[in-house]
Amino acid sequence: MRYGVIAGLIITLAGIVIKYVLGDGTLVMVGLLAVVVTPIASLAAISADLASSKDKHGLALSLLAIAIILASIVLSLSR
Amino acid sequence: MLYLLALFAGALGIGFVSAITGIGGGSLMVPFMVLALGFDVKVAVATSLLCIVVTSCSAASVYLRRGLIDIKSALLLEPATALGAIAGAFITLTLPAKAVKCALGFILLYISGMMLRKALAKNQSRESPSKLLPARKLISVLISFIAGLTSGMFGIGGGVIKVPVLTMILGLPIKVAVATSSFMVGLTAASGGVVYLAKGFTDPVAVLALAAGIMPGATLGARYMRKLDPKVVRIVFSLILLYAAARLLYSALT
Repeated sequence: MRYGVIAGLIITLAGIVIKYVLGDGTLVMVGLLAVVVTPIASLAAISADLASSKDKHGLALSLLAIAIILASIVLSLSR
Repeated sequence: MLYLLALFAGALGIGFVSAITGIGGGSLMVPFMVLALGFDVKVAVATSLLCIVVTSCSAASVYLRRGLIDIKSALLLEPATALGAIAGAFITLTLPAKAVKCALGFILLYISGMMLRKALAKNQSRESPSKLLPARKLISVLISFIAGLTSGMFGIGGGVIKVPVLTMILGLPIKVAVATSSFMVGLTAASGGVVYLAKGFTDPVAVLALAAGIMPGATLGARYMRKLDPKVVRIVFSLILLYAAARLLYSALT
């Protein structure tokens, strides 16, 4: 988790420099998205663990949380 | 450049105080950005949520390694909390800035009161449920939704609500509750933060400056924790929050 957010911050920093020089802000968005996605990725890893240990209840809850967050991403991008 | 230095210095202080009081930085970060640096309240909320993701992930990765996080409780509460955070973010985006400032003022008043009560309390007895009834689970899910809503609306982590839910309703030991809350706070802030990010409210430069300041600030705070009286720090912190709440309410109502 820690490395995920640090990587996201480094990408954001590189993106800010690129935006300042070339005027393209794509990498900034990628870096910030990497920060936001890190906890969700860790939740996905936990889901995989729960699936391997056959904890159906825990797996259902973790997948529900991931589905809600992904739905919010789609919803906020579409509206 | 000066504003970057101000953000970094402020974040150092916020990290320091957060480590000593155990309260996440969001409740100080948003008022600091709005009142001291003149940020738009929605940009401040969006930026604060991203910073909370950074700090929470750093702490949660340590807690995960030590096995302190109660994954089952986190998974029970997180869907409702994430839903609340997303709803909260959409509510804030539709509200006028003055209404958000006013509501934030009241939330800070509440947190300030909680901190002051904790600082002045002599005995902190806690009920520890021996049996987890379904009603307790339902209540904790409902309160978690409210915690998510406040997080998404005001850019705070919501630990101030989650930790009491985990200890008093689900009966977790305080260390496990703090670790579990820290893990959940990252997910909740990410859920709300992604909405603001997609709408273009996040300030990436401010995120970097704040994240760079909060981490060393928290390390310093953890180091000086034994030398400072947490009671005094809590009283000072609650008075700062009280002042911030008064300023926010004044600026919202005039």
